[in-house]
Amino acid sequence: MTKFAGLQGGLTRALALGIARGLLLVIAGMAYIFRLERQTHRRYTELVQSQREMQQLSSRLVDAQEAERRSISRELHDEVGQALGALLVDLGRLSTSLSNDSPEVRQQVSNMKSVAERTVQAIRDISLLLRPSMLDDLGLVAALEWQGREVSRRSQIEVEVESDGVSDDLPDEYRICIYRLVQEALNNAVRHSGAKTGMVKIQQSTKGIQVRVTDDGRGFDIQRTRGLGILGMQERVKRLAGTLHVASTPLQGTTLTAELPPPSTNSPGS
Amino acid sequence: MRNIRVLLADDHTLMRAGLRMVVDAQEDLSVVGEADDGRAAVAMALTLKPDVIVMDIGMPSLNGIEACRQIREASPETQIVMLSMHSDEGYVLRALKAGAKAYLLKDSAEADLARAIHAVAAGKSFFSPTVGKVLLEDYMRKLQRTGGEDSYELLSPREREILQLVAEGNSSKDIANLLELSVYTVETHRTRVMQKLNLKGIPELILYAVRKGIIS
Repeated sequence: MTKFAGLQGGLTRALALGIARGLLLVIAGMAYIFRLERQTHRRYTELVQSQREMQQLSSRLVDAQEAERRSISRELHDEVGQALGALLVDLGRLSTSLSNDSPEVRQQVSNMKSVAERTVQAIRDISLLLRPSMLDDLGLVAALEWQGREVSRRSQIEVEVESDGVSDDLPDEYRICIYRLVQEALNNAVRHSGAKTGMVKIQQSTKGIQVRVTDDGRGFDIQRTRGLGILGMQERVKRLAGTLHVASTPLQGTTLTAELPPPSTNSPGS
Repeated sequence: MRNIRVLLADDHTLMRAGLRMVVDAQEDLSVVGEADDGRAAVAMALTLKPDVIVMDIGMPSLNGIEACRQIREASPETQIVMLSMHSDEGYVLRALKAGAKAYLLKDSAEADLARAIHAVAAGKSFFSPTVGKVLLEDYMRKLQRTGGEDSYELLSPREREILQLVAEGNSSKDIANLLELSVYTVETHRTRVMQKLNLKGIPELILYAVRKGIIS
């Protein structure tokens, strides 16, 4: 009987010890998991934070790039372009006031004039590429129409531009975003698509602004081709809290659609 | 000869100096003032009441197109010669809609400025020859690529005559007198021209005429 009681006591002790060990293990395990979880959470917040910083950085980069382009363009146009323009006016007056009996001098003046004209044209092209002055002179829609005609003139694609309800005083970041978006899309179409016609449609309503660029070219496989151009466009659209969607099937043309939220009325203009 | 009073509006001193020399070289033209931005141009237009303003399209604070619109509204007897670097129809059409009568390219400003000022002072329009050429090239290329047809062919000889007279700045009454028709007949022809060519408003009609080389 005492032998049995002793056995029972031994068993109970062993059981209690086992349970205690198990509990200890569970507690240790839980503590470990908890620590891991905390670590993961911290890493996650760090990641989100650094992603946000990256986003801000690239957004600042886009801003800085536009600002830089703008100032170089202004410098070129205002200083170099105007000085050359004045030179052209003077050369013109010189050539009309020259008498007919100095053909060599006349020839020289006319050569100088044509060099100056070519330089003016080159400066103008560079300056427009950097900052399209139409955006400031005529507004977004006219600038897009101009761009469409310019692409039609220089390539095999005939571009049509349609607009509906687009406000004349969109904030500058909207104007430049949409302008660059269309510029990039049309450039891609010219370079890669072999399209015959292109269509730019821009609509503004209370829900926001939709920009759509369509071509009837050979299209591409989106999964395989993801050029820097599209990334750059996405970056610009994301900055304005918009979305960009590119739809393309080989042989069936490409459609690029950007949806931008309505500009807030108090956002800074140009 | 009547003296034509001219105001120069351009934000670049060098350009203004060049323009001034061209204007000063003409006996019947005199420069009454110079403005270096759009706002100054509007203010000076109202106080100086010049006959003609030579205005740069791209100026700070208020661009030339907006300044032109405001001046034409406040003082319709002042005519405007628009100066621009661009021979693009977007610019030309907007300048016309704002009420400018002449459109000059800066490259050839020195050669055509005096003629342009004289033309607008007489109520006529003037466009740099290159402008018409560029507009025509754009139009022909588009027709060729899209397979459209030239709508000018649809006009009768009388309609073409009236198109030209309207584009030159004549009122329906002037045209009626000139062609010995009733004003009503002229109006009917005019409406039909606009319909056949699918034009909305006089600025588009003038643009069309420049493109076709009907006026220059």
